[in-house]
Amino acid sequence: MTLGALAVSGCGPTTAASPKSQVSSAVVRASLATSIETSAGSWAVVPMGHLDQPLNTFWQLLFRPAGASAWSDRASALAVATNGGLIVATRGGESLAVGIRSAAKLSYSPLIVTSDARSWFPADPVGALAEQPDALAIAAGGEALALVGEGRAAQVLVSPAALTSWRSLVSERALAASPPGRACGIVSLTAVGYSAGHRLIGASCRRGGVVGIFTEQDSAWRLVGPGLPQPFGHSSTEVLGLQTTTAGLCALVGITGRRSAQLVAACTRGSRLTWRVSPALLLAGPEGVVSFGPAGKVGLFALISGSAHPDTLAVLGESHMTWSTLRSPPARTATVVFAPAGRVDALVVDDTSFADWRLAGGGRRWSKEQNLHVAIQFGSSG
Amino acid sequence: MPGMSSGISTDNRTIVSAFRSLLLHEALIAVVILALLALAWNLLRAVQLRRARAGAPPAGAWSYPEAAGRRLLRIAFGLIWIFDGLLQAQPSMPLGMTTQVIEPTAASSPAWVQHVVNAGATIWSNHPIAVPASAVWIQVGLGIWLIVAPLGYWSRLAGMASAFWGIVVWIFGESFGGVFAPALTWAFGAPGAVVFYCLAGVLIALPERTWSSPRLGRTVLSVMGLFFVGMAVLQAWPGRGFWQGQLGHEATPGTLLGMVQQMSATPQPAFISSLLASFAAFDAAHGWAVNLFLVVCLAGVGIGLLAGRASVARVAVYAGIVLCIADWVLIEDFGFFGGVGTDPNSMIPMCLIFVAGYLAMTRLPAVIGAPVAIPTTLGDGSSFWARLASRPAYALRAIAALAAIGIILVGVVPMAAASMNPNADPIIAEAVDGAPGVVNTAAPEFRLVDQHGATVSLRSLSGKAVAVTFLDPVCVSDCPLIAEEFRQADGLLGATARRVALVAVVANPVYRARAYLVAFDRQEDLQQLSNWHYLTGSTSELTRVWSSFGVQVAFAPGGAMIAHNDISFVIDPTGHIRYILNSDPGPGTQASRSSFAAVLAGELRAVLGSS
Repeated sequence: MTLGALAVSGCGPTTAASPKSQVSSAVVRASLATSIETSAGSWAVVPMGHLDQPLNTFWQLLFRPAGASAWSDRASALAVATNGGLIVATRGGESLAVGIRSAAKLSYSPLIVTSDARSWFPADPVGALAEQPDALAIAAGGEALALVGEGRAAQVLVSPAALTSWRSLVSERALAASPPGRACGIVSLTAVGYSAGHRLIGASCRRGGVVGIFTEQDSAWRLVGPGLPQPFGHSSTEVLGLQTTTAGLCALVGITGRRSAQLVAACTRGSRLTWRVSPALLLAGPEGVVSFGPAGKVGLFALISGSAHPDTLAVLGESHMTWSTLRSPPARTATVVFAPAGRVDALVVDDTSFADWRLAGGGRRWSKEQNLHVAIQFGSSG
Repeated sequence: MPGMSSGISTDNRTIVSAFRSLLLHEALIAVVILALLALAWNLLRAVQLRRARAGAPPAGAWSYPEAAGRRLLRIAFGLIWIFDGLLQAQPSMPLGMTTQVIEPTAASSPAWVQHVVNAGATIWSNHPIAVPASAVWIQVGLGIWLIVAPLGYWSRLAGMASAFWGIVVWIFGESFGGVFAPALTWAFGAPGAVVFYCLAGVLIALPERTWSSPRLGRTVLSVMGLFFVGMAVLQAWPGRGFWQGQLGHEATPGTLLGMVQQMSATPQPAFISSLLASFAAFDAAHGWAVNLFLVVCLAGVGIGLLAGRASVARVAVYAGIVLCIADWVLIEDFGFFGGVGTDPNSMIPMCLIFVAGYLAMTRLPAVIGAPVAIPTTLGDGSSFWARLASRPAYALRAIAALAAIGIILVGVVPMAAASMNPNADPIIAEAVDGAPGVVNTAAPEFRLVDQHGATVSLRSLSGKAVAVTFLDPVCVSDCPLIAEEFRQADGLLGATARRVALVAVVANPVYRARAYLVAFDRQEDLQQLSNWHYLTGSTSELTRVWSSFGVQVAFAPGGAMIAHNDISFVIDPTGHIRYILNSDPGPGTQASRSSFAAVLAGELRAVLGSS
């Protein structure tokens, strides 16, 4: 018997979402961690547990009622294992829909909805939601889009109302084969969203300088993303998210060149899909987007990690399309919450411990507001 | 409550005791075979004595003695096969062989190798009692056969059988000896110990006259010399991690150091661990020198064996023996510790081959008497029966060889039967979940709606055998496995499935809409089963059914799925629960799923038969 027989190889499921994106200078990717506001209060999605073990990583849905100061865990209300990650979307800030990504032997995604954080109603299940923060979107009128599947098998589904009766809208293969898809050189579909009634699909593009945002007009798909200025003419792009903001919709776009990666935001308001593009944020080294989401009435936030220095919390002012930087949040911040009345919270997670740090002192320091132990039943879903 | 799939421990008491029990039973069969053949020997002796008294001329003795090299191979590999057979009887072998030996070895090989090896591993996993026990008897029988049959067809046939079984073990047990894996090295046992068993078997199977010339010995030494030189080149090849004791600033162990450290952690006597740890420390400090020494030694031995001169070959043989023993002790760690060691690894068999080659070159068989008649059959051309009747020594050896073949058949017959049975043994399910509970009590009535919207009650299934379980349609672990086991059980039932209903009740108070049942059925490929009913209802209806079957359903904290019992009930056509099964799918392997399906199908057949 050769000795190699005794070299036990490691193995394990790989379907769970990576809690923190593995980012190199060539690829910009975003984690599923995010925050969102509804009329009931603030919501946040963060990974907890043993983050190096996919089936012992549990994505938590945290909730803080409007006007309250303390967070509580709502993950058990989902009644399903959350190892694969959570995708959240809101219908006009009224209700919250949570899509649970498939994990292990579950090959589709349950959906569940609440408007008050107390009563939960399951919606029709949908195919396996993609590992993208904006894989689910709901229009104010109730229509919903879901990005399901991976790679060439990805497709966008549409539900006419109330997250039921899902049907295929377009597949990645079909969109890539269409003239606008070829103009972008679609690598993969990455996000769905709505802007002034337009269905939008985000993609990563191989063609330099093209931002892959598509919409359906007159039964045909059109490439409507903004053109990037000349310095990015040879850089591939990826739409990391299509975020509804108070003023309209902002696309967060990762731009990867040969030696560096950068981040820009492109925002639109009104029905004409005309874009304004922000200056670029340089992502130095192996940085990734830890989290992004709406920043209250200001616009959009992006939490950017760096291995050699503290994370950067950048906020896009939608009115002037400029980035500003807030004080670096504490280490292990998973996401940031911009609540009404200007309150900013950094949600820090460490195994089963959760801490809420509030930006205080006029934005000069973070002060701890709450510690919460989340009871995780390790191994229960594996 | 469902938990992380626990897997079956290699010392699982159910499996170990069943393995021991089967070995004992098969040992009794072997004893009976030996007793019958002893009786035959007595009868033959009586015939021989009668012939002697009647003045029949004694048949001639063996006219040609066995070559020293052949005798060495035959007896040494006979003893090694017996030793290997005894190692196969270790209690960890039934469950440890595939998970700790076969799969890790195959893991570093190309996909096609894994595919081939998996075929054998599946048979072993599906039949973890019969197949390991078979391996014991086949190897013990082969060893005895080699030892008791010194010359002639019996002996050559033993060599062929040894080579054939060696190939089987090399392919399925050693994943082709890892020769297709990237870390191939002489020091770790490449090209697999059993290659040398095969080579020995082939040499033994050669006609005896082949051993009368030094050409065979020279050929063997040349082959071994080329092998050593090739291994030296491979050992010297840069970029394979052998030239460094440790790699990089983080002191990652080099290839050799990593293996020695791993072997020193194997359960074994402390002084051996300590010896390996010392060598590991030396290699960590002087990795380059250790590899240089190894390369030089391999090349030197190889060139010496290739030289073709007895005096040079003798030095190379001695050096080779020292080198092999050093590797066997310091790197291969004797090969058989840890509970799942299947042989003493490659170094001893390798030594035996080149020593036999040297003997074949230098010590030709001495002729006894004249004229010399090199036997092409068994010595004198008389018939088999005549020789049996007239020669006591020949009769004893022939009967001993028959006994050895009988012992091999004790292993071969069940192994062949297991190979042809694609379904796993029920013992695996019993090892995971214990024996099913046998009861006879009226089943609780239920009335719910299935995935198609039809109302289904226990009464509506009267006259059928019913299997009832509780499944969460958004479960990520156990429930999909249980559903697959039910689907497999349906397949095993064949036409009988028409008299069976497979019923699952939703075990999640939130995702109980029919859309989820349909999604689950599609995921598990259950839509095609006409007798499959996945039932749901209002929360209160479901709660009532859960309670009546003693099933607990609870919200788990922290993002985990709903917790519920893994349990199944087998209800007879009159509505009585006859079996209660713990349905925890355990490791959820192909073997455990197949085993549970076999148990479920068997019990459904049983309740249909008894009604």
